[in-house]
Amino acid sequence: MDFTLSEEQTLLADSARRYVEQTYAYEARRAAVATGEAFGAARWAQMADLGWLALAVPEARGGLGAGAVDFALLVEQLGAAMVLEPLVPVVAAARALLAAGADDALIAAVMEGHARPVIAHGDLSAPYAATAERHGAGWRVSGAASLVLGGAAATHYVIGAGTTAGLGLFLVPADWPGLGRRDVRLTDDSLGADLTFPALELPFEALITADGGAAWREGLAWLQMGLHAEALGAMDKALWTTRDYVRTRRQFGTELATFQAVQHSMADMVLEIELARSILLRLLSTFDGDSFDEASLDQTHAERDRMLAAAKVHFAKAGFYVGAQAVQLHGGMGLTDDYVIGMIFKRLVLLRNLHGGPGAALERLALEQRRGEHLAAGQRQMAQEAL
Amino acid sequence: MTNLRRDPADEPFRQEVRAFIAAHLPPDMARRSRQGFHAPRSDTREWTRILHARGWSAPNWAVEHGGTGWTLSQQAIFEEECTRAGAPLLDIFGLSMVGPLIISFGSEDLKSRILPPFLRGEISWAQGFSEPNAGSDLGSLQTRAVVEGDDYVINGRKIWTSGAHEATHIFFLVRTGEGTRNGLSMLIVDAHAPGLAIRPIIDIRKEHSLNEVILDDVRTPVANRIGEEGKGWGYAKALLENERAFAAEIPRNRQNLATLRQIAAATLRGGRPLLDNPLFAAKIAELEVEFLALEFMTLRALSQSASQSGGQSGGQSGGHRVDFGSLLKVRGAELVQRITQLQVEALGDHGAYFYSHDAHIAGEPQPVPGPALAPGIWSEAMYRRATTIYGGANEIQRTLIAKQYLGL
Ligand SMILES: Cc1cc2nc3c(=O)[nH]c(=O)nc-3n(C[C@H](O)[C@H](O)[C@H](O)COP(=O)(O)OP(=O)(O)OC[C@H]3O[C@@H](n4cnc5c(N)ncnc54)[C@H](O)[C@@H]3O)c2cc1C
Repeated sequence: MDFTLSEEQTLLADSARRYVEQTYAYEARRAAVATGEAFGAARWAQMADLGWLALAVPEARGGLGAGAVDFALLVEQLGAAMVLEPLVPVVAAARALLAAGADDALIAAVMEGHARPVIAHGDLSAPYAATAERHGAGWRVSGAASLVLGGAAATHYVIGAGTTAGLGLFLVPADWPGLGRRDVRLTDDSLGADLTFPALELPFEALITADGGAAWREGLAWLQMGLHAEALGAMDKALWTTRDYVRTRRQFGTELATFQAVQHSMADMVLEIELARSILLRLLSTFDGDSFDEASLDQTHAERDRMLAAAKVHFAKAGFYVGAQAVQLHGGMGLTDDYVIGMIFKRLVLLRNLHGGPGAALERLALEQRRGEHLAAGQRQMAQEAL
Repeated sequence: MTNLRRDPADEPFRQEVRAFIAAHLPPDMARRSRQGFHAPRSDTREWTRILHARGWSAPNWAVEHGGTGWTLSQQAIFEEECTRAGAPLLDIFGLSMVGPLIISFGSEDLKSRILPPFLRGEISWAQGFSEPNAGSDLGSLQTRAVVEGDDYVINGRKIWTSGAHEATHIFFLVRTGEGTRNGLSMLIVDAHAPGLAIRPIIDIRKEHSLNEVILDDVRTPVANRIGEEGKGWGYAKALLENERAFAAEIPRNRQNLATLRQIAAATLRGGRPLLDNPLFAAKIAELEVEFLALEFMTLRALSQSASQSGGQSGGQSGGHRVDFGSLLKVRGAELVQRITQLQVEALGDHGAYFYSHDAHIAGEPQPVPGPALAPGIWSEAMYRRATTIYGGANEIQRTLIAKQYLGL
């Protein structure tokens, strides 16, 4: 194992940090929100120019083939600015499409910034949010998906629908007749979408794969991992912003930073963040490259699912702690609408409770642990009898 | 280049390690160390001897010093397999603290006299740093050593010296001059040297592992000094940094979590295993998550120190280097306490019985009822209140984090 960043990785993170510093100060984000638009078209084009939309696409499919670690490094920087553009949801959808064998033209359009597909998942604990049946020469797909991140900026939705043959993945243009979309303002001022489609009539080719279980999981895994990386960036931003604040704010004739109570509470913020970074790296270690090696797939996916749950639990706890502590140490300033700290807290709370929140993830881990212990008990029993 | 994957060659290595342990770990030793009571030092020495025959008694040292030269992931696998099989923990004082110091700063003579017998399991160490009036403020210590001929003559009092009564050697931090930075030195002393008196301190579990050590004109050869005179503070700091990298207590926490799950599976509450109670299962899962994060943070720390000595830039976090020692210490120490506390909770009423350590070591049945796993659980939970105190108390570590990481 080697945690050293390569020169390219350092450059990537640096360029993302510079981009964010130059174009995405908190005032700029507020101004973007005030326009009422779901995302900035010009900024999206810039992100495409910078190659960020091609980063996680394998070279064989015309991308940069950089992999999950690079993606997380990039997204961490963007997360610090809480960018409104749906980079994570779109790349996650692209990963699902790649795994599903979507055609190169669509992937190319994503990388160029022209196509912005997002996954229309509903509750992550349910296997899928829709059902499909044959209808004439095509399909009829029925279902709904609420709180689709990036949904208001999307050009396409990837819909997973149960068919008699398995999980079918459908690609549906955002303006398809019969697709009801309601844009919804979220607590971090971003725009998501709620989708309803009681009876979508689709041509046969809308089905990308009839056996889309693995591709669906791939997409959702990238989505969750990407959101954790964003949360890490936001936490880091909260930490250093608070550090600068306690160094300058004076009470009782001295800087807040000189009080041990303040120092220790900030040390705990550091601890939560570095543990979050550690569990994110652990999660990343379970992302396979681009070789979909059948033999090891099941095992790595079980481990990836376990780490997704573990990361969810830790990020939920760490995100809340760091965000809330940053507010606390800012005093009244932390409660204002026009200061970044309050927004970071709101964003971290939103991410915490998304996708079933820490509760669903803990439940999954607890079940797994029970299964594991029963297995181990069986092994101990056998070893005992062998003696 | 970042590479977070395990080497495919690791799997055959794991099988090799597992087979060796299965063939060579004495079952009574495994039984003793599986339970919470402190395994006797004699077990550690015997296990070291067994591993030495295979060349494995120093998993974390380089080959030229008698170590294995294993990669980080091989070390982690070895440790996992040892824990799984219930092998006693190796002598961390020697392997991770004083050993590396001798390797880095000791004279050739000292290395050749000390390291080989240590690797054979013939030396066990105690650490004589703390004094009655020098705890967190270690730099103010007063035990003094002066040179007389070829010897240092040492006078003073040390306290909390773990395992001194079972040790063959003690490494002392003593005063050889004024001030902290240039006034302290590190000396190795024979634990049976004349003038050295060891008095037991019975601890909260009613066990004897702590001692007071009184030094009354104790002599040790000048050749037993580690490194230079007056540089002891720097060495001690390096050693404590190293100690803290291990302070996440990964092996212990892994073992304790496994034991916790076993207890919870064996304990019935309302006719059902406690492990099936969603509330309790969630508590265990929370600790597991903390462990998973901490274990990877330990790997980051080890990889950083490896790349440091290789002269590369590495281990950055958001662009800057991280002093992981204090981070690992704080949360590792707290996790040990949280897991052992939950073990006691899982025992329910059986957590109220006092189980005798002596009966346990003698392999006699405990004269009180309860599941086979119960003895040692409470005892360990009580003793480990110390994890947040020793090795630099958590309050001190938090202050250090604020200073080193945040520049406050
Ligand atoms: C089980 C056990 C085993 C040990 N084994 C060894 C051993 O083998 N060898 C050895 O040399 N020593 C050993 N020690 C000693 C250990 O290193 C000391 O106990 C430790 O350094 C703390 O010192 P103290 O006990 O004097 O507490 P004090 O330094 O008096 O501290 C008491 C409390 O005050 C807090 N405190 C102190 N200063 C500050 C500050 N500046 N800011 C905020 N809070 C502060 C501390 O965090 C602590 O909570 C052992 C201790 C224990 C409990």
